[in-house]
Amino acid sequence: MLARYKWAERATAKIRFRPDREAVARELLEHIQDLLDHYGETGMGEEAAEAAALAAMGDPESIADELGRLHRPWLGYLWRVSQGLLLAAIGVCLVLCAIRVFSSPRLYHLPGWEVYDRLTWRAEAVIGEDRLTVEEIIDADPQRPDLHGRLYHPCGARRPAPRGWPGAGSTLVDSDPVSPHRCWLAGRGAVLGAERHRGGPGQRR
Amino acid sequence: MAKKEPASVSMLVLALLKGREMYGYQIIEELDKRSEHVFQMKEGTLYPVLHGLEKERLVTAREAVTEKGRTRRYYTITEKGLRVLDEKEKEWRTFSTAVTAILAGA
Repeated sequence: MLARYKWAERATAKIRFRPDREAVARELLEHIQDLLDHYGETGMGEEAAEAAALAAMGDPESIADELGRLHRPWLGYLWRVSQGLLLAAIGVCLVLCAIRVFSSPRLYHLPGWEVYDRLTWRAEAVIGEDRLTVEEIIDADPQRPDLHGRLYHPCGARRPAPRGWPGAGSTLVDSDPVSPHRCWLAGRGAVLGAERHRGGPGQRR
Repeated sequence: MAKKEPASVSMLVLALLKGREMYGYQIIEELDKRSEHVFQMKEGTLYPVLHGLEKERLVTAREAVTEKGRTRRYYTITEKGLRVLDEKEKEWRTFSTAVTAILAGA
């Protein structure tokens, strides 16, 4: 190692927080380089110039004492800890999202439903002119999807549920006063947003 | 440099930074030039002084890369630094006047 790097290492040895230590060492080495440039211009040889530059810089141990006293590491460590906590929080979110996306057995198993957003479990079923959209899944039972009973849909118009209708067994819980073609149904395992729909993407017959 | 209290070195550095922002090597050169070679300090000892001033928020620092690819750390005096410098200047003038008066009577 060149003498100047050893000098900088010794002068910064008592700065405990590594990023600070490296930054201060860089600053000192830049200063030494300025001195080397200056001595080089006077025609001094490289080794002699380095020796003169380090002599001009002074005693690295006494500088290390002063720098070590000034650069307390707790702020740096606090910064590092906060970064770690942020990364941990991001990691936990990613894991939770992955669990949600890859381990949901529920709507995939209900016949007639098409999941179009695996992250939010947005799913819809289209039958005839009607389209049902999942607003909130409560407790879907993939083993026993209850598709029997009567369908209160659309928007309170009671009618028998066709065999295999994915929203069968639902009851009307609310309707939208502004858009009367929209309403919400509570069915087995899910609250469903129902929308009377003619044509449009995703429609199946 | 002749034996001086650290506070005096701080005052000199603040006074030099009052005119413009400078990096360490520039400060040493300027100190040498303006004092007509009277103040010659071990150059590495400037950095504890600068970092101490920065910690007390009397100066701020910014890094800039030169055209030659060198990274310079420029120091600038703050408003607080200017106020402290003003106080130190007054103290120094009082001290200097007193010493001069005593020497004149010796």
